[in-house]
Amino acid sequence: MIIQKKAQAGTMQSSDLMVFTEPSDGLEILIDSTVAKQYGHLIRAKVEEVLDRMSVTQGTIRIKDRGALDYAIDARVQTAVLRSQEA
Amino acid sequence: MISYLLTDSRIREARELLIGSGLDFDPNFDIFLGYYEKGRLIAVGARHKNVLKMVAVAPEHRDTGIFAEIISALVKDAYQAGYEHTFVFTKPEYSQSFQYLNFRPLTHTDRTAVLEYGYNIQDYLNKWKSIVRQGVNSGIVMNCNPFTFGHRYLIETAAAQSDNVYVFVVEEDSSLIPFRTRIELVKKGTEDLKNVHILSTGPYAVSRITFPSYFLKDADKVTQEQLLTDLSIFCGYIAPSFGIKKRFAGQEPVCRLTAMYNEAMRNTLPQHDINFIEIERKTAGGRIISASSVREMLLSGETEKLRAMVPDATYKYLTENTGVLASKNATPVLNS
Repeated sequence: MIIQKKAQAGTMQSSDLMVFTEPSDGLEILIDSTVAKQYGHLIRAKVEEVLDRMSVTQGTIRIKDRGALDYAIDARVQTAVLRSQEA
Repeated sequence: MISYLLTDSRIREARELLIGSGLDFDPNFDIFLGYYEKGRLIAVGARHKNVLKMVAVAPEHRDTGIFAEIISALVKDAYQAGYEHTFVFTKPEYSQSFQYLNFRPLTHTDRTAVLEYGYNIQDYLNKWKSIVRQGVNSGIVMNCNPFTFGHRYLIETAAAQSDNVYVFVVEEDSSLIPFRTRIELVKKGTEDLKNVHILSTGPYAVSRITFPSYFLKDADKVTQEQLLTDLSIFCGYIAPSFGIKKRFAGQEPVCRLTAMYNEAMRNTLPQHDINFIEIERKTAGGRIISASSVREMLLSGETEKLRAMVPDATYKYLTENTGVLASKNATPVLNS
């Protein structure tokens, strides 16, 4: 699966995250988080896991996180990826 | 519940909330959102292009998630309108509230803080890393609407006095000639100058963000605040990243706005160890070469006179596109 278009999921509420996707040549994950220092690596691991599960091989995923728990990250990334597919 | 405020009476309500929060109402906006609870308006926020503005939450709701809710709705609406990179101007004391929502501080003065969301200036600087060279480098910020022998002369002069020259072409598309063409003509007109690098300003110099009144052509609205915002980004981020020690500009005898900008550079840049060098303007047939006089000649049909004012590539573009440019010039949308 590749990211075919720009898409967005999530909100800016506390304990939530915003996910933005866009097409690109490689696979890139950019994470901005208010808890990056403590949990940046765990957020990245979770995003990678979801992308891997969905077999996403190409695209840029930008995350703006406000301390979301991992099931929220899972749901938001999955939604954004599905929205990034051409109808 | 969040809804678009579309009627005059709703906008009036929003205005009251703003004024009650010590903020001014600004009629320039594309969309206005309101958050209603039991039919009462408790939060508002507006957007004009990629700038969020007029955000206010009623005092008794400030410690809730409503601020995040309204900003979230504004950012999503901006995203859908094609603006992935948004900015907000706010009072310095509210900067932290935006930072909690992942906005990044860009610059601030005593009265205004500017923050950005989606992308930030580090992304912009990283993009150009590969063309950064060591040495005593110079910077020039130019609109080049269009590129003339005057611009060429300024770049040549800088190139002779520097190891590398970085020419930042204003990316804001509010000029007669579109950005893509402007930068292309600068590249073609400077191909032979090996130590000159042409790049775009992004939203970080002479843009609607850093210097809104440049595009309003209204010198009375230029505030020191805006000039300082623009120059603090140049001095704080751009110059250090590119090793820029000198900034060149042409003297400005005609346009009061540009003259004020030069004046601000003369005062501000040396405080950051950057020399400001003003070059006497190049003339042709006893007249100063300026992009505005080139545009006038083109639009009044004096095409032959352009030969002495602009390089070949610019001349070719202007003469081949005279009709398109003349009709674009007649469209008032340009001034928005």
